[in-house]
Amino acid sequence: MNKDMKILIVDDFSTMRRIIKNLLRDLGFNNTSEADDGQTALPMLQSGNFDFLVTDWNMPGMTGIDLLKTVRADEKLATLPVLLVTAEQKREQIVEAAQAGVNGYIVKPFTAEVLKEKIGKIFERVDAAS
Amino acid sequence: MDENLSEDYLNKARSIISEVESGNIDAADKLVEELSRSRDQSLFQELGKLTREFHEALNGFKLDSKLTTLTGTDIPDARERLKHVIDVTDKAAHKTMTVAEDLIPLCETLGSQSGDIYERWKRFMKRDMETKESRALCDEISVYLAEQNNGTDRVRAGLSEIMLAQDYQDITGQIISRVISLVTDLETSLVKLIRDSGAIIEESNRDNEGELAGPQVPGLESSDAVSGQDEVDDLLSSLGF
Repeated sequence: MNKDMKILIVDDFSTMRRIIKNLLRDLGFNNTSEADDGQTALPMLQSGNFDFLVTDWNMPGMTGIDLLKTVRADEKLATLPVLLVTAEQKREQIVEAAQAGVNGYIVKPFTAEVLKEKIGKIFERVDAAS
Repeated sequence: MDENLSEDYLNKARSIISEVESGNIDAADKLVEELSRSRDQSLFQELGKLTREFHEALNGFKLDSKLTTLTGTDIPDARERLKHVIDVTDKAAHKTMTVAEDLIPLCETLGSQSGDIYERWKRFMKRDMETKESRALCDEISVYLAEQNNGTDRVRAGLSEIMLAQDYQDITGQIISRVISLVTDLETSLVKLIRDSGAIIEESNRDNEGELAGPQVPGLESSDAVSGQDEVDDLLSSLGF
């Protein structure tokens, strides 16, 4: 796993973005950017060469699930690893995210350990595939 | 018509018949007049009763004007109050994070400095150090202690700042309690209005299809929700993750 990889954090609450950013920094990832919803995130993803997307689900404008679907439908972004960090914990939503091609799903509130474990797993698989 | 009144009618009617039979037409006339007067009286009584009921109904309707106050003033008010809760909690969270972001690197620096000095100190204690190096170490310890002293002050100040930033809980707790009592009032008024209008209140289904449920709240959990990260992981692994 490349610690210099470029990560985009998408959440409508600036406090949550800041928490995730700090946790990622603790894990050694310093190359992070932020967006407050899918609509702001999409052009950043399309032009920014991001290696990893961490997004909330419930946001005004474009939700995280729509962002995920748009990313998967975009030829250039289709293989971008996506981690959903969300308060949504209904089974049908988790299934929907899985079907839309999410790489990891974390429910809020979460711990630094869970974040570390999920990121580890995602890139284990990504590295194995490449 | 009440019993007293019908008995009164009957007595008067009997008296009229007997007066007519006895040929006392004047007395009979008087009785007929009395009879019609007492009928008018009962009409007035009924009318009075109706008026009173109407008045009470109108008053009851005025009580329902509580709804107007609730929707016109209290709810917009509550909206502003709740927005304030978001602002206050946001500010407190950022304030706390700013202090933490400031102090974590300080602790890291002091920690690595003391670790570094400790390694050499152990060598010094074992007399495994040249005089020149031990002099330099003493100078370094002196600088470090000053920095440590200063740093401890900053950490202490930061921690009290973090502690003070938690005062939002008091303010938001009070605001939210008021909004809860407003919602309770509103519920009572609406239930009364619905009952008065004759509608039947049915238990609604909480789960709205296709709508995001948001964070689960104790006591209001959706039957379709998982109860934590472990269950999310189980579900995902059952889907082949």
